[in-house]
Amino acid sequence: MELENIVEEAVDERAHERLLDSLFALDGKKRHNVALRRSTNFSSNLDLVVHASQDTAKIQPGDLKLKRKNASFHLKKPLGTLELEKTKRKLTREALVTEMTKWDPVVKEMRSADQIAYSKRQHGIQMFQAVQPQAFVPRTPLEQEIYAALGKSQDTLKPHQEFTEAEARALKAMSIKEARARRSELMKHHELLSRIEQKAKRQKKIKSKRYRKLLKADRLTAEKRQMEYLQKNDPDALHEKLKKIHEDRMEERLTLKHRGGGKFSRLHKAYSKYDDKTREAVQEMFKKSRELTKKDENISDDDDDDDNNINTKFDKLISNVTGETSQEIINHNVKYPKIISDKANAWLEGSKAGNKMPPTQILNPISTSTEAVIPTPLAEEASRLPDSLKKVNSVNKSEQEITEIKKQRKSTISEPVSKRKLEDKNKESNADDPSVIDEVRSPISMDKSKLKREKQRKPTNTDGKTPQSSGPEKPVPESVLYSHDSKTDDSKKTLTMEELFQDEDVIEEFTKEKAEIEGRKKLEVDLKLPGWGTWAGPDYKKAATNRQKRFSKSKRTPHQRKPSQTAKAPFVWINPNRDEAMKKLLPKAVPFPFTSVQQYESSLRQPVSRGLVPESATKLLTKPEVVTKLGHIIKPILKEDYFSKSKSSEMDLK
Amino acid sequence: MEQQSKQTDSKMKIRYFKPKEPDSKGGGKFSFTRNPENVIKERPVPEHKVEKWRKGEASWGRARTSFHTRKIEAKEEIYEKVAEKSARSELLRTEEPGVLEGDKTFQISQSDIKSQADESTQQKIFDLRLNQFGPYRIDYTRNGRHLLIGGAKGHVAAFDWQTKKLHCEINVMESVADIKWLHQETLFAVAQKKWVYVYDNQGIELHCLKHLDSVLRLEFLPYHFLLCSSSNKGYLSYLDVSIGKEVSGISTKQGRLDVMALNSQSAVIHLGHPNGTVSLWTPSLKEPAAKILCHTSGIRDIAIDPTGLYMATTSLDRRLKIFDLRTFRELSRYQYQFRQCPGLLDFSQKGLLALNRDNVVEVYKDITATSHKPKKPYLFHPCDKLVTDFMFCPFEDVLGIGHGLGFSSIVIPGAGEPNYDAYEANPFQSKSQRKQTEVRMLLDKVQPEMITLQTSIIDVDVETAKAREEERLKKKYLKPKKIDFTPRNKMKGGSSGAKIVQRKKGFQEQQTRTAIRNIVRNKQIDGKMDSRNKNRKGLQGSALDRLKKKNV
Repeated sequence: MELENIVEEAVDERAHERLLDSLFALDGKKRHNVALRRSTNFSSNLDLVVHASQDTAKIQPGDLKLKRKNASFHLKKPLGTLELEKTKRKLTREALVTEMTKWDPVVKEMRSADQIAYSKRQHGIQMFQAVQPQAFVPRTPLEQEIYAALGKSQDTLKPHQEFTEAEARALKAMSIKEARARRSELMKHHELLSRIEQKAKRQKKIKSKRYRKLLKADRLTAEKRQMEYLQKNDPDALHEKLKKIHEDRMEERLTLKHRGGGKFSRLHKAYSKYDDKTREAVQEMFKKSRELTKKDENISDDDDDDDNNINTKFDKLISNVTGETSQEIINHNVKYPKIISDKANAWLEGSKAGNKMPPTQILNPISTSTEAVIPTPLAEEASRLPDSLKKVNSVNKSEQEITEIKKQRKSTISEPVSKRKLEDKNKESNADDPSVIDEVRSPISMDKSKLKREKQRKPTNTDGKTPQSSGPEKPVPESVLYSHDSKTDDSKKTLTMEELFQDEDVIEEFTKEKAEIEGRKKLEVDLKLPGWGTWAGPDYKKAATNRQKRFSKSKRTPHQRKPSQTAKAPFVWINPNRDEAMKKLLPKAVPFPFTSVQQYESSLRQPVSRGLVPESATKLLTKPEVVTKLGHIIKPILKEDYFSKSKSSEMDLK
Repeated sequence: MEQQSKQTDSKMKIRYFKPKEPDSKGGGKFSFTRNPENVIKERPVPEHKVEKWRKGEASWGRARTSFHTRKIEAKEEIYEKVAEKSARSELLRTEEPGVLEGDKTFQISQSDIKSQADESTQQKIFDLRLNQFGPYRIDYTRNGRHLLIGGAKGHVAAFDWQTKKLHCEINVMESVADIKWLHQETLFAVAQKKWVYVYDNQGIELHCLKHLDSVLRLEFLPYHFLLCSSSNKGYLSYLDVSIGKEVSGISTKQGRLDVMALNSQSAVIHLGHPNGTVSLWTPSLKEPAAKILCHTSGIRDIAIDPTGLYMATTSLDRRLKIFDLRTFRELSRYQYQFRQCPGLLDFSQKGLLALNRDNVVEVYKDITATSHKPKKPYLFHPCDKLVTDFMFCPFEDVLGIGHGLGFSSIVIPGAGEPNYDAYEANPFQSKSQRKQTEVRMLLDKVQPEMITLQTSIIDVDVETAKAREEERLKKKYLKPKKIDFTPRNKMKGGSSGAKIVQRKKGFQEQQTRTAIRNIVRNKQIDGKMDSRNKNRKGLQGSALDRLKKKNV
């Protein structure tokens, strides 16, 4: 029975919901309710409970009862994306707020502190392990070359030195005989290198046009030969090469090198009138520029090329190989031996790769990696080099792997060393820490010193021996010293004197004058011409009265309002405008933090100057709110300093 | 890391050092530090002593924010500490003023004092016989160390009167009306027959101030650097000596101005006139700040108490009068019965009043405090000739007298302030200190506009503030600001705390009542107008009505 009822109820509920929805739909509003997910299994909601007494073994049918397990067994409907976003935002905001407001008490405390001494904080450089930069490792060939040029590499030969550092180290490690042999070998090698270098330098300096022409022709033929060779054997490389030539051409077109606006063309144009050769040169230049600036359509369908097409183009392009590329090739020729010389003594290391590392090498943070020094295009030209050099080069290549391994080792070893250094630095910074207070001057001791000074001062007064009136031995008659005898005569005289001045009625004069001045003040009120200020015309009376009122009010000073003061003292006239100048300087409103006049005035009541209060009081009154030290950077406060304690205490509690 | 933290901990601790031995050069090491064992407890200062040093009422009530309230409270605590420190430092004022005890002190002559006193005092009693160029006018520097004398016939000399070391002695070859030291002993001004000249302490003429002509009296305001001069033609002028500019020149229209005194507290100049009035002047006003009818006959001299509260005047009617400068009221008057008329006046730092009649100088004690004239003076000293000028020496018990036969210095025990403030005026100033002080004085220079009769200059101008508020209120649609109401002080428990609050509340209620009444009235009028204008067209509410002040 009961089960049935429940089912019915549920069904009814659903119907009811539907009904409500439809009703709200009538109103044109969507009904807002908490959507719930329901499990369809009603029986699971019910639990079979046996209400039987423990004593009886048998369960009676009356003991069986069905009971609802959990009335609110409903799953909530998953939130919509909008609401989900909202809650997420809310949560993040709350988290942020707690994070931000965490600092509030700290900030409050710092603001309300009577003094913040930044000078007592730790200063100086502080290194963090995580932030410490790794030693610079030159990677690109350019970097490596610069590194070598800066003398950082151990393989560079410095002037006035026989061997490089690495070589010297290696020699030291060897036996004398071995060392001698090595030495001679090395010397030979160096000589060779230097000779090549010298030669290159010499060649570089040759100014002969003919030589240059020959060189150029040589180079062009070499190029041509190479192209032909590539055409036969390696069409891909050829394609690459052509592409490069094309790019160079494009670059030249962009830079407008042969336009004729340069200094060369200008000079030669002027000179071409007189000289046929120069004229020809200029013409040639123009021709070339035209040729260069001409847009070639063939290149656009260059991508879907066949080999024939390339072949036809090839000859043309070869002839067009510009000065720049040729220059490059020359440069390569010159550069090459130098680079090799840098690398050359790597073989020395290689010979004893299995040996232990010298300590200096370990400490040196700069790796001497040499892998990518030789630019790739040069590898192809290696075939043209002298044999000895070629040998060196090959050795060099074999060494690459070894140096790599070394590098790795170095990086692992160098870490703890740098750590130790860091700690040392920290110690140093602690040594000159301003927070160390050596002595504290107490105000009492200061007072004492002052007192001493006071005592040392010369006695100014004659209070030591004050002569008593009874002291003088020969009493002088009073009448002699202080003539009072002719009193009667004098009184007569005074009378006559007063009579003398009585007819000048000074009092009356004064009161008259006073009245006059005050009257003049009243007259001063309105000296404007009639009609002044009545802009609306004579009939507009209201404005005039208003004006008068305001005028009289503003003119009325407090002293005029209180005539009692002067009335009480008839012989005194006090200027009502006496404080006008001063009043301009007085504040007319209570500034911000103060709420009343009394508060504001009392804040200004204490003089600060040491002329008015004791020195120590002046110091107290002018105590700086912020104390900084010149050159000390004020760093942001650390979280650990303010929150670590409380956290640790929490941990303890747990 | 642990090591490090330990290190910092040990450094944070304060280390105490005992005073070191003096070094080989003989200089002591000034490292006075406290031993941690002896805890020094300061004895509390008696309340009445601290009360004297409190500068006024402490602020009460809350500030706009709780933060500022806390700040103000902290400031108040500091002020209290300052008062305590000041009271404590009174201990350092070890010197006591000298005194002559007994009934008949006037019988003691200078020769008696000289015979009894110590050597240093004996040296303070001396005469300079200068009978050729007299009578003399004199002036001491602010620290009382240097003396300047100027004879009417052109003799001017400046010297350190204690060591008797002469700085300069010149004859200006003109009659000298008055002399005055400027801010320090390096400069002085001399009012000569035609113009005022400024000399340095070597007697070299530095300036000739031609716009100060026929000057009779000079005064110097040290805090404002103003040289004040009154002339024969009734012209009063203020000259700023730090910039050499005349700050203000006033034609007083009062005739010959040969009586001038300076109120050292308020820097107001007092001028005495032949019609018995004393007028008070400030540089910012072209007319007197106040005028007092003191006597019925011409004023002979004015002196103002160093506290700036009392003024003594003498006039041709042979009266000495004491006035209170706070109320401008006469406190006491003394009629002289002698043949001679009392002339010059001067107050000492301790409030003794010196007065002369012809060639006799009398000194009175506590004259501002008593309502009747003491029968006999404290001391009196007859000079050989007519006394033309005298002045108490600051920080010394000495009165310098300029007369027809030169200058004489006499000792008046208890005249000078025994304890000096070296920051203010140091009698034992060294040259470097003097330079320092000069710089400091220039930095602390007060502007001439600040000279006023009003005693407190930090007050808020409540009158103007209220007037402004009224003006503001006249404009419509503005919120009224709260007026600060301080109930008037009432006697007999009328000003108890509860009563004050009650009265305040009453006042505020009254204010709100009137405000509400106004609002209601306005509304009624508006309603009437609305009903009247209901049928009229084009009187719809303006779009700007939303900006109107909302009536509560």
